[in-house]
Amino acid sequence: MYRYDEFDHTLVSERVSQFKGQVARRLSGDLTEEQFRPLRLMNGLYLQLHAYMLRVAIPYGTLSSTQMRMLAHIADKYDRGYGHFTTRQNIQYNWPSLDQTPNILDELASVEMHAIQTSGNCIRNVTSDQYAGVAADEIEDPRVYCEIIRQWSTLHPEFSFLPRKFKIAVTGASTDRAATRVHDIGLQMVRGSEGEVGFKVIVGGGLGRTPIIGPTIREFLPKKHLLSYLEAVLRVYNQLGRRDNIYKARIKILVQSAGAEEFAAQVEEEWAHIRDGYLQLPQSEINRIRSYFAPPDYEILPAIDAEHALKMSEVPEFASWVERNAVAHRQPGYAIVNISLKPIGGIPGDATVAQMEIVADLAARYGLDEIRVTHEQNLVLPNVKQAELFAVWQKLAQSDLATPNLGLVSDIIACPGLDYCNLANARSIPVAQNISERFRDLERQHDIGDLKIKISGCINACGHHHVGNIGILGVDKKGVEFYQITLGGRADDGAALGDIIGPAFSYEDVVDAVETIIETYLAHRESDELFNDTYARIGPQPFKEKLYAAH
Amino acid sequence: MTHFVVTANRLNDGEVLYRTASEGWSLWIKDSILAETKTQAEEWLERAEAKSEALKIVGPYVMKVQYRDEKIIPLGQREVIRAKGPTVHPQFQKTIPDGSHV
Ligand code: SF4
Repeated sequence: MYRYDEFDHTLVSERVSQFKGQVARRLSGDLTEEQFRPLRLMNGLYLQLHAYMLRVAIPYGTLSSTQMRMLAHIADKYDRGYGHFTTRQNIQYNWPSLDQTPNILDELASVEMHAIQTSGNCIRNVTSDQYAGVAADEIEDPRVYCEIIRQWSTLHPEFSFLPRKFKIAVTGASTDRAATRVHDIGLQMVRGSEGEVGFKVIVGGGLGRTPIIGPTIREFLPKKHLLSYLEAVLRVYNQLGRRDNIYKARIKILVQSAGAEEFAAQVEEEWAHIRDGYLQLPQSEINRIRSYFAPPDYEILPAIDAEHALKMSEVPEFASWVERNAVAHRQPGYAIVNISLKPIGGIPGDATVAQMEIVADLAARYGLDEIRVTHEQNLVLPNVKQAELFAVWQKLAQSDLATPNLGLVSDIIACPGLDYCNLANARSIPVAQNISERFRDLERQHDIGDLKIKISGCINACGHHHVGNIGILGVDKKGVEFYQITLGGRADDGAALGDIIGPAFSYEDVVDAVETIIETYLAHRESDELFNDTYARIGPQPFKEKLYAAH
Repeated sequence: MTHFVVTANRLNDGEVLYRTASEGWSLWIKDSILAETKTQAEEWLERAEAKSEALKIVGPYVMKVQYRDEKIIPLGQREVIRAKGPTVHPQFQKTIPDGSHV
């Protein structure tokens, strides 16, 4: 598990006391909102429709049980009894008051957490694969490199005022669970020609107004050059990125306008000046950071636990949950448990105080004290013994945390949308809830199989709608909510952007439209074909015909 | 008929506020002072911004409403949600002290 060092402690506590003073001056009227706004944003505090929203960083989505308990405590003491886990593996509180925020930050600091780099035009919280360190298909634990990047980027003076925000994702597995192709920089661990480990570097992906699947600008980057190469990318961006137009300021626009090859050449040129300098990563430093992430002391266990196998045959609900929500662990006798934060009709990503506490207790008792947050707004216990899965399932089920729907129709990503967000055009959450209700029959969901629905309340695409198999984007037509639907997107290895299927649907009609799309898919599906495969085979026409037949 | 009101968020907790006839702020849209023209509302906005109490509010602006059957109805879904609270958490919907919803 990642640990703060002295530097982090000092930095965070200085930042908190500085912010205390700034809040006091704002409340007494010594600072105007114009002066104060950038200061609060630097501390993760946004003003939304009805209240402030505090975004707390969860570096690469990894939490201990103590930290989860603290998140629950904050929701209880300073907020309204719940927190919202986001697609950036962060948590957001929707109701903190300004005067209490420094106290929240103080309490967070006591468990080595903070809200730095969750806002502004800096390098944001680095995200990763939620199965990092335990995935069966992993080359190396990517969090080691996330942490190295975090240390390098934290308040980096040269990169604190970039043309626009900057998001980095790292994965160490062959299956891309970190959506690396839609980040400003995506790093995929790969093996070089001699078996040595390095990174494939993808630059200039992103969603939002101009969605782009990022091109690879370097097929193989040796590990020791990670920081110097990233620094070169950031330098080129910092110099040439558009500061004159917020809609053209992300690195993806620069890469597109220069062309990936030309951009790569510029990076290589810049890199040539710094590659052998002080940013080279010595193996000793990699080892030092790696020791933070040393695998826990796993027990030597049989691959199949007999008692577990018996329970699987005796209790069908348990078996169905294991088959859907538990994933193979690389250590025999252990499993990765996904905790669905998508109960039928629930708010995607929300967890109550009691639920956070249960998850913390389970992690402490059965999970070697680790919890992960996924970019799909679920939680993970990455280290559970097979023999203890039944006990974990029972506890989760008592708290509405055991819906066996991972990857199914009701496992929807949804941004906060117009219920909370100041930038929204339309609501996202109730659309997700209504779809989930429409498909409440889990048997029906299992028949449909894997299908990713992603919903954003505006073109900023926090709900990743462009890369949903079915993507839903809220638009505003003269103050009325409408929803544009895209089909065929995906965020994993074969990342692709969805196609707009036709005119937008009203709030009242959008769930029917989703059901029509799914029924059309089922009518055309051949054997076990996934949604995107059927869509690729038959094209948009059959969907259009059904959707717009009456018009 | 379309009218205009001045709205803002309260500094400490971000609560939605509406400008009243007594040049104060209310949590309820029913208490808003109605301007018949945008220009008039913008004058009120300027006055609100100029006063020292402006330091206790954030982001004031002019919004459109309908005045019908003696009720002030916000225009557009965004303003409806600002006036009433999030639709997905009924327990956090804004309630007027007499118990009725906005
Ligand atoms: S996508 Fe738009 S509405 Fe949704 S959270 Fe992001 S900015 Fe807000």
